[in-house]
Amino acid sequence: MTDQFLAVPWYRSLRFKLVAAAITVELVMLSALLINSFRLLNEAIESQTRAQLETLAPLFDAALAGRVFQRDHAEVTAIINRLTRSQRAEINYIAVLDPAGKVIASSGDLNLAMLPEADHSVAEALADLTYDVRLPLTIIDHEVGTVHFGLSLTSMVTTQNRVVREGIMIAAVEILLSLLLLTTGGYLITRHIRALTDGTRRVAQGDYSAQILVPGHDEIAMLAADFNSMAAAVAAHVRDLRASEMRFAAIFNAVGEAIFVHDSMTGEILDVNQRMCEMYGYPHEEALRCDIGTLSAGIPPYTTSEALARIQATVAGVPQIFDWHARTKDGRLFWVEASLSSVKIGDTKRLLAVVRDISGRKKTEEERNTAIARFQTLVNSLDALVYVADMETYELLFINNYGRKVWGDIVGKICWQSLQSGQSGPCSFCTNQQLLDENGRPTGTLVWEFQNTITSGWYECRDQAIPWSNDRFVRMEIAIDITPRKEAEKALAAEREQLAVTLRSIGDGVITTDTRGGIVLLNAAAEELTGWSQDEAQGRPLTEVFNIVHERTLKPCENPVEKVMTSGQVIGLANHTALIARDGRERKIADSGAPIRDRKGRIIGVVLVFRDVTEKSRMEEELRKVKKLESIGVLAGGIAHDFNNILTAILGNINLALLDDDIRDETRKLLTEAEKASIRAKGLSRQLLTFSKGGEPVKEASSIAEVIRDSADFVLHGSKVTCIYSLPDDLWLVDIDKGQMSQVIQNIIINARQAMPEGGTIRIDCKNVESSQAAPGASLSSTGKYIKIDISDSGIGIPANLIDRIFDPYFSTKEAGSGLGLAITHSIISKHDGSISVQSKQGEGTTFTLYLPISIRKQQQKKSEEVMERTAHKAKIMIMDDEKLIREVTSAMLNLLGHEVIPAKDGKEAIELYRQHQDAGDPIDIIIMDLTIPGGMGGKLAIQEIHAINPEAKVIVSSGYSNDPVMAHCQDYGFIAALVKPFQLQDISEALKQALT
Amino acid sequence: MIMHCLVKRTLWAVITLVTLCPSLLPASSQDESLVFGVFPYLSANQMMEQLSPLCKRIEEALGRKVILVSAPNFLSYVERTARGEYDLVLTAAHMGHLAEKLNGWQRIVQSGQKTATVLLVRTESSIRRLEDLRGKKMAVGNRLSITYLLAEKALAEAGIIMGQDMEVIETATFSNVVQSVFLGEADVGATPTLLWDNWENVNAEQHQQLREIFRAQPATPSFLVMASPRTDQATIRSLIDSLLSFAEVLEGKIFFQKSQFESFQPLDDATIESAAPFVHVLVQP
Repeated sequence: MTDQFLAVPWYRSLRFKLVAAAITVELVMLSALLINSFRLLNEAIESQTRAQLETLAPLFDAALAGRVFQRDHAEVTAIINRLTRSQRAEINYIAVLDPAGKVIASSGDLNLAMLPEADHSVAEALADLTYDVRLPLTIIDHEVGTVHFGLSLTSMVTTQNRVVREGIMIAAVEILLSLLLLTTGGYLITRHIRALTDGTRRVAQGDYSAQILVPGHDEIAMLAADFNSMAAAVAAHVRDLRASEMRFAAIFNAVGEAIFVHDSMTGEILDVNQRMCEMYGYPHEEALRCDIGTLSAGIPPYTTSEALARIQATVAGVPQIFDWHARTKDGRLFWVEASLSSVKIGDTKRLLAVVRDISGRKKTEEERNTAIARFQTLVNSLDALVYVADMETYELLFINNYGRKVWGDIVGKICWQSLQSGQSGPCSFCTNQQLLDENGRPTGTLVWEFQNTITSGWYECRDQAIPWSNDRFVRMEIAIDITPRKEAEKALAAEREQLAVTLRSIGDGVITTDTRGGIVLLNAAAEELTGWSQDEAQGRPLTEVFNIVHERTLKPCENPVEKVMTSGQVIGLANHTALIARDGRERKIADSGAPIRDRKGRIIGVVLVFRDVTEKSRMEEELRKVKKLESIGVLAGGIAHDFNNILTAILGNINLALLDDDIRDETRKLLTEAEKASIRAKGLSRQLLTFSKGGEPVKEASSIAEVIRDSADFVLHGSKVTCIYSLPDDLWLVDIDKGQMSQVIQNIIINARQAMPEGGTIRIDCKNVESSQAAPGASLSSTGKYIKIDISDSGIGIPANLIDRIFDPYFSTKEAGSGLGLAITHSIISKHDGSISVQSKQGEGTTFTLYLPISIRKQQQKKSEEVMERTAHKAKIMIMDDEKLIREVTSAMLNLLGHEVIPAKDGKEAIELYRQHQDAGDPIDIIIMDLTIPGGMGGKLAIQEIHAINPEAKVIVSSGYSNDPVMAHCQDYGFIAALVKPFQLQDISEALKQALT
Repeated sequence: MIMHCLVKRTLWAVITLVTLCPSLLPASSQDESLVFGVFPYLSANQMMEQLSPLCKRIEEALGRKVILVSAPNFLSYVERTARGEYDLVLTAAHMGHLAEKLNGWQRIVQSGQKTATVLLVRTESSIRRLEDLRGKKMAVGNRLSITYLLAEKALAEAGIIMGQDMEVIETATFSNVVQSVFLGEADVGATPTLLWDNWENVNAEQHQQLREIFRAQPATPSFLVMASPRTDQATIRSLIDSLLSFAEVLEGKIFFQKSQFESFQPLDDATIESAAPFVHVLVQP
């Protein structure tokens, strides 16, 4: 080997390698320098060319675009010629094209048939040393043509070639100089290296005492000196290493755990310490021959294969600590805890196993596991959820079988993620905070109810903080399913709600009380009627809330609760019971009370049901009045009819007698008085007829203002009472029987005047109203427009207990009163489809309010004159009446008026006489027929026969039933006029005049 | 033999002609771009800016690319029109008249705006009426324009002969006339009302600094659009329909507002005839 070293060939010598490397580096660097210079030149040409193009492009555009657009060929040609001929521009050729690609001007060396393609780099242009360019000519972004031109690269390429040549020459000279320098230097450096080589070999053979001697003070001499120092240091380190090894062996054998050193690949035991020999009962040498299987129980998982798996895991970088069932030399099994780790001993990877005897600990664990198993059996048998959760991490540490069946095996998961749904963090209802006090001590058991968000079941939860295995407190919850109980409670609540809704929905007032009369419940209707709300009334005595009195005596009624409790039966309240609301408002009520019984029949409270019957009572009262008036009407009609017949004879005869100029003044006076009395009797008769059933007022469209003013003035004439009118000019017309309406006004005004014996003021206000604006008490028969009339006095007023009776017939507080005035008023207003009501306060006055529907007809023109005159035309008039007296007196009146009279006692006779005269050519001009003939044909039927004979026959109807529909609407029945009994000469004269014109 | 040779040569000639003819004939009009010649009444930039929407409209109507070109001056424009270098022209009324009468150019539409001449002086100028212009310098656009002719006529009626009683400075286009007076190069300028009224290139300062001393009555439409005699009738119809309806679209409304053309209207005989008095200047002896 020494010979080989000494005979190193020249090409392996350090000197040659040094020279070769230096020359190689020199060549590479110079080549790089030359290539880089060439590249930089190219880039310079490229950038110079581009700069030239960027300069030329806008110039070309500015110079040519406008002229190309104008097709100014001469100017374009001149410009490009100038450019190509300029030495400084270095442009070989220029061609200008229009947008269609047609050449419109060119200059320089160029083949127009095939214009060169545009170059994109200098490299492309080097072939012909011309950089071909194509530029669009634009005006405001619109291309108006293109220009092609070639930029000469000749001068730039010439410069580039010159630079490259000179660079190569400089590089060659530099390489020659370097070669000479390195050869000389190599010789000087390597001449002492052989001595160094010999010294190194001696040290390698363990001779640390060898010294290398190299003369001089250069780097080689210093290297030799350093080598000698290094050899001495190595000798000292070898001594230290041997001492350290002995100390390690002492420690290795002194530790309390058994230590194994294994081959990390095969698991072979390489070394053990003294403690291992003691623990397993093997001598050291014998232990080194054992394998892992010999030292293990050999029962899975304590076999060789499991041990090797753990060794491999350790080698892979996962340290292992595990319990192992080991075996001693004499076959005894015992528990150890093995800790495996991978270590490097020298340059070799080994596996170190540290084994500790844990037989005592294992025994303790087994005893504890037995206890835990019993606890789990107990907890798992519970029919309730039991779980334990960490109070900080919320990790579920335990859940019993019940819980696992419902929520699954969720041990190890987070409680708020597993036991609940829809939680993004710990539950807002988590009880952790309540289970420990501020000092972290348990607060005891917290019982609460909760509906689980996964199962929707209700649970009664008992939470408490308990110490867990690591001495930390955890939350234990025992949750019992109470869903059935909750459902029952919910059903009960729904039932209560339904009952409450039902009670609220009942239109009648309902109050329930306990057995002592304390209010338990009021429904909405009861709240409204009593004025007490449920909250205010609850618990109060019934009599405070449900204040009932007799409507007339105002004495308190018997407490219905006491009555029910006493009787134990359903009771009804006495008639005329009024409820006085909290605000003092009084309502008539009808009610009943009943006991509330429990399932065993015991009375646990009272329920009162009542309703407001104020309106119903008023309607019944109204109906009663109407019926009363109707019954009177039947009687009055009959009387009035006969009375009118008699009056006709009386008044007629007095009329005729007064026409006699020969009677004495005294007789005339007597007759005049008799006539006045008859006229009053006529008025009375008319009043009576107002009651008669079916009687109709003879209506005409009139202004009510006129009637009011005339009637009131008439009544108040000469009294101490003044009247203030508010009668607007724009009052609508009303359809009224003026006579009847006058009677209404008079009756009311008379009452007012009588209410103010010392004088006073009556106020009459009229206005147009819509039915919707009518006062609440006004009972209007239809919607539409009405005239409202308020007649107010400031008199003594009407007592409250009498006010409902003032429209009763024959009801009067005055000794001289007939009791018919307001009854007739009520009847007249009703027959006019109107309404009358009264409000009064004792000592303050009374107001009558009337509503009359407006007219649908036009106002009839008032007769301009009402005079009695004899008609110029003498007519033949038939008077048909069953009353002889009337036939006679009427005949006398007609004769007096100059007419010929033909009497007839009934319709049949009248028809016969009419036919005879008609046949004889002596026709009757006018027939006055009584409307009603007892036992015979009346005017209503006879006129049909008469018109059958002569459709043009003129017939006047006469009757004591002045308000009979036929009299009110005589023309609808074929009559030309109506003559109301008792009539006077003036009346008959007007009727005839109407018939004959 | 001679006959045979003659026949052979004739055959060769026919074959050559047939071979070459397709390349000699103009390409199908549908494939070629259409050259739209505009008389040089504005600078190239202004023309391109204003007339681009009109070109686009024609391109849409005909489905062909339109190349907008002009000419160095009025006369060369008239000559090129006569030579048929253009397929379509936007020309002055008297040029259109001439093109129709001499070369059979076909009518398309006329502009609603009519040519009238306005004479402008600087505000502080002492010139108040036409008679004051005697001995002054007048900037005009082109002596062959109707604008110039209307100014010439008005001055003649005032007893002033242009070029004799006053110096005339002819600028390249009308665009330069206003600028010339504004900068003081000329005492008065004759420019079309088209370029003075609401012309966006005449700014507020120029309007304040210049004053009108005369305005001629409108004589003819400012522009006619005409098609070359070789244009077929279907194309003529398409162009007329498209341009008459141009004002109905937003682009057309903007075009008419910016260019001051006002509208396009049918081109009738009366319009063509109204330009007759101005044609004589275009006819070279």
